Amino acid sequence: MLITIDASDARAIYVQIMDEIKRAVVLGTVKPDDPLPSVRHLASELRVNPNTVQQAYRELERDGLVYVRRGQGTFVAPDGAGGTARERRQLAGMVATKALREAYRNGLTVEELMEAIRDAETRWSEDPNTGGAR
Amino acid sequence: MSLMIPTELSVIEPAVETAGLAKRYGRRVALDGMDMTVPQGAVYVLVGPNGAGKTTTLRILLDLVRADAGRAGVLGLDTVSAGAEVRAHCGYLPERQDAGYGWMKVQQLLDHHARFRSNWDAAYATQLVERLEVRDHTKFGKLSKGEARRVQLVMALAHRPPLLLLDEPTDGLDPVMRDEALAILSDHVADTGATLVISTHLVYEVEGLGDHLGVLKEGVLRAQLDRETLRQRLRRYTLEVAEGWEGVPEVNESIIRRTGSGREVAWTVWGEEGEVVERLKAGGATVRHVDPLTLEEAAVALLAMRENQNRIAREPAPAATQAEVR
Amino acid sequence: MESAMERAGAYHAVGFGKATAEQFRLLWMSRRPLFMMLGIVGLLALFGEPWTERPAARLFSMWPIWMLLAGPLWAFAVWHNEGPGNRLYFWSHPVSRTTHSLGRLAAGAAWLVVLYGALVLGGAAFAALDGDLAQFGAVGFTAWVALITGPLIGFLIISVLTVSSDHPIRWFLGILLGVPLTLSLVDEWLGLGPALEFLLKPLTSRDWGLAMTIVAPFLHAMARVHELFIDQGGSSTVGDGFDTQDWWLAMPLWILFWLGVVVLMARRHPDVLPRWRRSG
Repeated sequence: MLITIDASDARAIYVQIMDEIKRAVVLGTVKPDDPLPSVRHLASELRVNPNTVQQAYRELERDGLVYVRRGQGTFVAPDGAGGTARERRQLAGMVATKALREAYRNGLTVEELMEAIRDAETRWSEDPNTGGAR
Repeated sequence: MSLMIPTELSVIEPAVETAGLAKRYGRRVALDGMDMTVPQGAVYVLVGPNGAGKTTTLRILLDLVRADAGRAGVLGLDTVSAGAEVRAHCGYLPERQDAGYGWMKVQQLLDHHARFRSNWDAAYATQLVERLEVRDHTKFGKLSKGEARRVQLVMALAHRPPLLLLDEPTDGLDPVMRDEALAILSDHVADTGATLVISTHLVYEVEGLGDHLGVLKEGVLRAQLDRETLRQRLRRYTLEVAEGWEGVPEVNESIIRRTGSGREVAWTVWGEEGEVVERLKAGGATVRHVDPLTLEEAAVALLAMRENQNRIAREPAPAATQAEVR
Repeated sequence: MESAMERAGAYHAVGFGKATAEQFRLLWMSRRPLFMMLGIVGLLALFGEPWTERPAARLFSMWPIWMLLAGPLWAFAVWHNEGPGNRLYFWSHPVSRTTHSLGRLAAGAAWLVVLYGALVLGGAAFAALDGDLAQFGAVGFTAWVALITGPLIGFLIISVLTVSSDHPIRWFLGILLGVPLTLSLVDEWLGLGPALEFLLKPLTSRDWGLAMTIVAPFLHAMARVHELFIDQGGSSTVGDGFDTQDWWLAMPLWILFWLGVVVLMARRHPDVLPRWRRSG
């Protein structure tokens, strides 16, 4: 599992960590009952305050995505993982919001954005190396 | 809607608390009524331009400098009457790279330093020396600035103090070592639950660590608040407006910073988002989006705040504004 | 994660004994005692009395004079490169400021005593080689004590300056040159001779004055040394004016007096910052 955060991202860091873990669960890079990195380890790796990681784990636990085994750490919940429809929708929603925000910033409408996405996809499928990306 | 950026934190048993600290050097005023509160376990980022009084504040906390007026308490101890006790509980990274004996080899200096600290963890010190790639057989005075600062970081940390006072901790460090230092600080918090006070003007470096912000300018804290409050109340509103639009009076006095010009502008405003958006809309602006600020952006905005802008908050607030803050 | 407060009890300030011991070690690491020792031995080799036949006497007869100079000089060396304005690191240790300053001074004084002991032992060794040990031992207890208390008082006097000023040498030279000059001018022009004499009595009194307390025992000891080693029992003209009983009273009082002044100066909180104003 790879967790990256972006200090300049508008989302709070604990939210970014939550989103990253949700993403990993949806993608299946972590399976049910897999351990999450320890708070100390993840905080150190991301150079963030351990309390922030703690907060992210706490919120995830409240959402039922992970569970805590006393003295052993935090684990992915059995029913929280596996790319269920609900999680996939959530993830898609996250990506969409990001894209929409960027579109609005550039004065684009939703229709223009959707059209551009379809165009990009066509080009991508023709040549994945240069398509889509600028 | 008047500007009410908090300059006070109410905490039970703060790790650091100062009241009315004042200090002048000759005619230059370094501190002018500094009231600072650092909660237990906080990573408090003290930001301010050079000469704002950051170094003086940290030195007063260790009783290296005596304030002309006011008092300071550290972990419940008075800094003047219990200076030695306070220093025993603190790890201090001084601003000056020459704090230490230049004629000693690094290892000798660490040994000497250790003998004064009851909780010195030699194994941990060795580990830090390795992580920070400190050459321990070189004379301290022969080290480059970055190397000397790394040695000082070991000296500040190896007794695992409950309070760390770091004066420009990344100053002089190369990018790799800066990154390592931040990881070490994160570990320190995780292992000890220590309180950190980090003085810096490079806030982006401690973006991930900081959870409290103190904005010090001209010897006074212009703002002091926790990060969540900052996220909630200080936001950037990107607006589409008519050419020459003058804004809304109620919002205008809470604008911390204006960027952009003409039809597209971004205002950094202090206040409750819903309320601000409503007023902006009512005044004829189209609100494109609203973003919270990073710690760095918030620090820059608050530092750029006009000098007398937040004075309003320091005077007895009229009833109307009081209600607003709740 | 244990709370910071719970562990707080494990952090102690360091007391006088431990601080002094560490300062003693620090001075050793700085090699300053070694340099002082080499300096004295060097001076002995240079200015040892060449007319003496006996090497023991040659070595032994001069070193008390150099010790007398070494006392005040050593006080400067103890704070070498570390004036109050530059003691940021020194004071960042968990030792109370006064305690720590006095710890460094005590460590310095201890080295002075060690140095003295080494010179005595060295002298004794040479004397033994020459078969003069009995005479060496006949110097007398008071003289032995006096030979170290003089340098210690000098050390304390200079320490008043080193503890409180960034520029002790300037102060020292200023006082050394300025005070006698001013006094003589005052005496010359205003004719306040008797008043001055009264004021300066603590310095000049032949019975208990500071100058006599420091110097007289040296002259006395030197005289004894000459008697024992050089004149071989002949009479000596130096060392007059040394009254053992007066001295035993004056010496501790002078030490207490200067110790008091030093403590007073060490208690002051000299604000470290003026020199670093640029920092914020």
